[in-house]
Amino acid sequence: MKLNCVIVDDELLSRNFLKKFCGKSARAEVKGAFSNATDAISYLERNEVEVIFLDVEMPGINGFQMLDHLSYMPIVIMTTSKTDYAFTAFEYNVTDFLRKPVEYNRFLDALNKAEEAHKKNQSILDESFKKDIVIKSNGNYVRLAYNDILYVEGMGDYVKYVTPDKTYIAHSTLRAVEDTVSKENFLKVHRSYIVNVRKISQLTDNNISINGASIPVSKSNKAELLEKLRTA
Amino acid sequence: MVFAFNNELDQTFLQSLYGDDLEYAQEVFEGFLSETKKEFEAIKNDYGQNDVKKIRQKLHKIKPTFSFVGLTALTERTEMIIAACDAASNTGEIEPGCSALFKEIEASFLLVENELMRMKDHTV
Repeated sequence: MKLNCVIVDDELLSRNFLKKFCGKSARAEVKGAFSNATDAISYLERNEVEVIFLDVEMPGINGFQMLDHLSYMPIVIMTTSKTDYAFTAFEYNVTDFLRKPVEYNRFLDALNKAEEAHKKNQSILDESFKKDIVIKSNGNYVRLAYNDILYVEGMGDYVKYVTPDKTYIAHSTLRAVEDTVSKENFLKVHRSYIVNVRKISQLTDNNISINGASIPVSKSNKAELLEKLRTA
Repeated sequence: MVFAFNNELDQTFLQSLYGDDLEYAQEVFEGFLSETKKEFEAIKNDYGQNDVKKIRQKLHKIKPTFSFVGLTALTERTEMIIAACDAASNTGEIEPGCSALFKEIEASFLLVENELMRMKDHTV
């Protein structure tokens, strides 16, 4: 997958070099190249990109000031012929710093870093989207927010999702549920139970209480449960 | 036959920039002759106006373009005049280095023009 990017540099040859390098790499698609920050801001207000190749010193608004104007923070690769900006670049969480004139291999290094950062951003985004699960219960598809699920009880080829208001029986196995739910908040505490750790109100010997229900905890799962309770 | 850049230019750097892509090298050399020349004319005008700030700004802008055509040493010398501009309030304070740099830049255009001709002849 190519990274969508824009180039912002007041010097034409530098812009052209970066365009050329992006094309040559076949890993970045240039959506726009701007000679000043004002035009770039105007474009970025209407279009979201993943990467900005950004010059620091430009007439009018400089590169860092331009970042202050953006409503979102893309991955930034600074391009400059000075190295005095390292500290400010660090403050702006700049992914890489390319010294002009930029050589192709160095450009590829920066692109590698941008791809890594993009993957990281994407996984955080994906994780935030994993907030619910769709189950089929009584012939209907029901969306359940993970946060609403208190626990899941396995009953052979069926499972019971228990929420504060309602229970839902679905044709599935506890193993399948275990593979699906967020490992961060859910834990199998017994061969028949997966619980939402954040909903546990009490732990006594080999039982936990969730919303008034008592759920058994296997000896083999207890240590992991205690660890989870400490960190969840 | 492989094209060999003039040894007055930084051949190693040019090779790392363009590899075998002589067509693109010509494009950049042409761009240098139009864009950098234009900026240089403006710099000379700023010099006439005794405007050190604008001289500095424009020198900073064209500085990397010298390297694009293999004039890496000129990039470094431009950097020195830029540093001098940072501490100066009038053109007298950036002399005699500034005039020497201007002469060198003027000469570089001729060198780049000749190199461009050679590349064109080579690719015909």
